[in-house]
Amino acid sequence: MLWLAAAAVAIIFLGARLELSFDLSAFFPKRTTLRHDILVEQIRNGPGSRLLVIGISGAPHDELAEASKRLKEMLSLDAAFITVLNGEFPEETTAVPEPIQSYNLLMRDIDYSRDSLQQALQARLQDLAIGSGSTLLRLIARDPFLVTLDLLENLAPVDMSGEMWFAADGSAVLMAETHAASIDITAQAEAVHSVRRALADLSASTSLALELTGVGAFSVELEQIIRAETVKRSVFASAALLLVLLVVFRSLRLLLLAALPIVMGFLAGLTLVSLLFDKVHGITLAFGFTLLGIAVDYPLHLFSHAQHDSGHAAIRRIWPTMLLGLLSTMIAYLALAFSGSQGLAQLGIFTAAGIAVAMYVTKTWLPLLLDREPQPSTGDAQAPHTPSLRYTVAVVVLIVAFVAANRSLETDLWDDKLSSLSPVPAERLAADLALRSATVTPDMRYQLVLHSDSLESLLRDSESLDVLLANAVDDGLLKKWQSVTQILPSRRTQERRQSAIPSAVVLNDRLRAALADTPFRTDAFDPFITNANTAKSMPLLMPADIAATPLRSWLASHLIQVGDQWVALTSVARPAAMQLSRRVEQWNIAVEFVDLQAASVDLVRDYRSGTRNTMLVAALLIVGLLLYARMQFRRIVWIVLTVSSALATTVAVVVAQHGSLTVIHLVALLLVLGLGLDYALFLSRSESVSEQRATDKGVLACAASTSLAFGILAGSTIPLLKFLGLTVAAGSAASFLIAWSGSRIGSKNRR
Amino acid sequence: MLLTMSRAWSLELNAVLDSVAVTPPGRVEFHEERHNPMLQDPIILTGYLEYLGAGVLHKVIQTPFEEALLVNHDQVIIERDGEVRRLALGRSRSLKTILGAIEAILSGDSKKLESIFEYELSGTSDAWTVRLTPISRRIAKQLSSMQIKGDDQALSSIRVDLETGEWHVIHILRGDNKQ
Repeated sequence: MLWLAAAAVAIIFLGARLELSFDLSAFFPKRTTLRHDILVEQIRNGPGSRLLVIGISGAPHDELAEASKRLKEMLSLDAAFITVLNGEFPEETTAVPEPIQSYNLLMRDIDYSRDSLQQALQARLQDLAIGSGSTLLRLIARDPFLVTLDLLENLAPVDMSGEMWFAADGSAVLMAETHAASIDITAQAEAVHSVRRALADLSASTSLALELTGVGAFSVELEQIIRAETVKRSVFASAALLLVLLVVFRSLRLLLLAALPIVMGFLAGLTLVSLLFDKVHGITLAFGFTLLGIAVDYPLHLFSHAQHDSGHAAIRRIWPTMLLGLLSTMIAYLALAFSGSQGLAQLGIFTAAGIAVAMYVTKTWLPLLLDREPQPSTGDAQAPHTPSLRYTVAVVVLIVAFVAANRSLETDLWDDKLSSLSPVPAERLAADLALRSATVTPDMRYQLVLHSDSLESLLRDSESLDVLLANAVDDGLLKKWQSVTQILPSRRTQERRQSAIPSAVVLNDRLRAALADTPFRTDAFDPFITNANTAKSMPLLMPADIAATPLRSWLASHLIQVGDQWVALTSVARPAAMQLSRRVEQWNIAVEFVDLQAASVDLVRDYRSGTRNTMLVAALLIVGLLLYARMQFRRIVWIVLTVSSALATTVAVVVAQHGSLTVIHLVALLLVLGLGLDYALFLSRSESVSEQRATDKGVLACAASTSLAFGILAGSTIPLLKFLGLTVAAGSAASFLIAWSGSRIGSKNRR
Repeated sequence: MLLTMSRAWSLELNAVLDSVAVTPPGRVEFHEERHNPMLQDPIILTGYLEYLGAGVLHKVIQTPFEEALLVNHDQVIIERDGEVRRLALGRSRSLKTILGAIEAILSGDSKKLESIFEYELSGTSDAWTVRLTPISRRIAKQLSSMQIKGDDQALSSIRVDLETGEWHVIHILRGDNKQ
């Protein structure tokens, strides 16, 4: 009853502690360099990540334009969104956001001389000749230099032309920036819900179609898919296994017994991952059920050997081979834990723990339960002998597969796009791109990166960079840029600007003198004098101050902390990339010009070579294991050949389907290695004829159940799972067929 | 008398506007006074106003400085010192309403005027005044009223009163290309 208690504890623990995450970047490689850290940080938290992109279609152009206007108004009132844009100029802002409202005089160098004041006043007169309204009057009275407007214009997330956004297919496009980060699934789901509800209210009469994309929307979709798919696929997989068990063993009781190690294994895996990681990723859970297809192998082997024998005797006989199979598979899965991404690490640990526990349960408890009805032992009446192992099949298949794979290759063997590692299906990503291309979003691809231990020295470096960039703009190397010091200057600069503000008396005198030749009243700019006086002595602006204002998300995308380093990200708009990159090299400050697109390819390539090395180590360990088991050298060679040709066949199949291999495929091949080894080990055993029959049945049942379970996974809409499913299903089938034909066909000892 | 007259004269609004309507392209010269609470003396502007087509108005200021405002349907562009800028000034709803009203008057579109404003017509066909108050409360928060004066040939002045206490008067001087 110990196992019941253990299971109960596990279930209670999970009920209390299990937290799911749907972070899209969990399967991205662990970052090894600062540059990569920044890349993934940008994808997770960057300005782009909090944008919900909304597409409305299903009506003529004018109706869509009207709907776009009204939707923008409705969503602007919703507290979940910071801004909602549809391409048109935003309405007059009635309030200037903090910290700009209070600190604007510290954010720019201002010339407070009489001449400069005079020029400013003249310019404001010209503004008043054209414009009017309380907002403008208040603004001018408080800020005659219009520093505020200058700051706001520079902050604009998009270059506004004033024309409403429409995509190529005619949909009206809006962008809504959420307060919540993209990984806050609950908040994102609520935001998505708000948008749907608002559109439903709008289009009571007509039926407008809604398209929602963006990181937040995708995370929500992913969660929904996983929830729906997990249930569906678990049912299918269970049904499939039921089928296999019934067909092979014709016993319902065995099916129930087989459930025991599987369930225990699942619980163990989930508990361990829950203990080791803060949150279990939804994909780990979805993948978890495929554990069924692997863990069921052990009871299957046991049952097939126990049909004409007692459970304990059967276990004793097959234990050495099973153990080897288990260890080699565990090596393969544990290698995933070091593969460099959190998501894959979770998968690896989950499965390794799961099969270990499943094996333990199979070994210790199943025989007990099986032997309720003791079977007569046929014993070892027949002498064991080795099957004759043929190499030809394996070699032929290896060559054919190699040629086929080569033929199918479209371009490179390796698909290094980061988007291929995203759990978002390709069509959704394409839909997102189609909508976004309607808006004029600044190119976030190029960033200038500065980092330092201290915030102050980082900000000073950023200010030096600002000067250099201003020169570069004059030379036409870029259009404009956004840097953290445009809103948060260094202490040194803030202090300098504070002391540059004249005392109230002096400012007043100069202002009066400047007002003299203008039609302005003498007290018209009293608000400005008050503002300047306050600014002169107030405490300096710090990042923590900005965190309480609407500008916190802007700050978060330009100033981040990575480990103990402060990092400033300066985004450049429409740069002449090559030339700017060269110019940056000439500067003598330690700034890096990063092309995020190239960085992402680098990242994946590093990940891939890291994974390849891990796989090589795993493969060597496995061979070492076989040698340690004092296996015949001939047998080892046969096993290696068989497994290799199975792997080559799998590669050929994948390349035929996908065109290239991603890192995920590489990882899946590692799993195929483990499986193929299992079949090869069993089929090359020395055993008696009746044992051989049992082995045949067991291995066939294993291959069938694994291929079925992963085949079901291959039907998932989540690319990650699809790749894993296809690769392992194909690999399992190939391994079985090749191992079978290499050891059973033409063998004298077949029947 | 005004009340009974106004029904009889509702046709006259059409007639009044027809008599002063300008077919694009048209151009008039203006002299403007702009008063606002920040100023002790009004800003005095002179220049010309071009009506270039449906929805396109070009206000060019020549003294005391050079500046131009181009309204192109929903876009408002300011030209100053050789630079073209789209400023916050250009996003004002009340500005758009005022410009819309001016265009309605210039093109003789009394229907459009009546859809935005309630109006009071007084005077004679030789010297009439139309007082406009916005129907929409949202617009009324910024724009209090407009007053248009003219004779049987042309507009003579447009006065705009804003809630802030600002008021502007544009005096239209004889222009060319009037029909």
